[in-house]
Amino acid sequence: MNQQEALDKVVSILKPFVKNTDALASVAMETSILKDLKVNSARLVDVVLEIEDTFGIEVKDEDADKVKTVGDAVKLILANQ
Amino acid sequence: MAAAEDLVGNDVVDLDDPDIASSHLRDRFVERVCDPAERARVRSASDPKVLLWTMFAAKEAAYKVLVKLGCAPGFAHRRLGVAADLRSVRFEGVRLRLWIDRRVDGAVHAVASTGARAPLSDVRRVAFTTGGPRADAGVAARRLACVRVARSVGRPAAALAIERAPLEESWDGFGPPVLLCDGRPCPGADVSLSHDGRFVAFAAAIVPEIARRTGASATRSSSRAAPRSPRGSAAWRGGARSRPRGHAAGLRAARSR
Repeated sequence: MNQQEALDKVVSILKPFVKNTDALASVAMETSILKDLKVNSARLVDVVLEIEDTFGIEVKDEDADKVKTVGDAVKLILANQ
Repeated sequence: MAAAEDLVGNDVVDLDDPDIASSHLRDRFVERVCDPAERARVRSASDPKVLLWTMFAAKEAAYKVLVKLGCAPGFAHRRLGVAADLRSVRFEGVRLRLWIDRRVDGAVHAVASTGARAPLSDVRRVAFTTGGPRADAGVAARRLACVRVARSVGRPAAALAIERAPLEESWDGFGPPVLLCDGRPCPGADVSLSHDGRFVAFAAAIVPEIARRTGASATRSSSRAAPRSPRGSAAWRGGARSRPRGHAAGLRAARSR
């Protein structure tokens, strides 16, 4: 899986949880999941679980804590492939 | 009234948000949020959904205090232990007092504090729906806090404001909210804001000196607004990672309990 494929999948995972849907139109690696997309903090747990299910990986608490941007999620996924 | 140097955190959850309707039925969600003892309590609860989200709100509220103390646990809800009686939250050596407010139908509001006395707090339903304008929710939470604190300290609400200074490393680019009186920070005061779905909420610790300085009768007002302790019955991320100045006493007090 390349970076673009991972990015597309991460965006599709985030989409149901995004409050600021306008920001989805210009989503990029540096887009902040909480600040820009306004994903609710409670929904972050769902996002982490969806990432685990979609990519068949385990996201440890300490790794999840480092994910602030869409790109951080992409890098985490690629590093665990 | 909360004592000087008390630090507060709060979190409100809209229990009717359809997005959380089945979270309590999903084992992996519960395992991600709760420690083993908490999971057992959720399984045996008469209303597992309410208990799960009450504990979630409690952990989020405690997290906000821990950030202010400089010992935030990161993305690790299950490392914060909520007591079975819902009166405290523990993280490593720190114990925070907890108050759960269920006065408003459809909402659970958790308030955590380094202090022993109930902070001033309130939760209100506002006129936008789940998924509505987030900026309006932030404004509504600030307005609620300013009106209630102003009533507590005997000042016009217009004299108060709540601001968040830019903070690069925080989850949303801003540090914890700061209460301003006549444009200046109120020393010893601490405030926390939250909104979720249809609800906005705040918690505030106001030192008695502020009330005295402004000629207020703070105790009278705050006693009405203090959240009730439960009987039988939450911006997870970021914030300041460095310990704010002046909060060493709060940390010592929290560790000593």
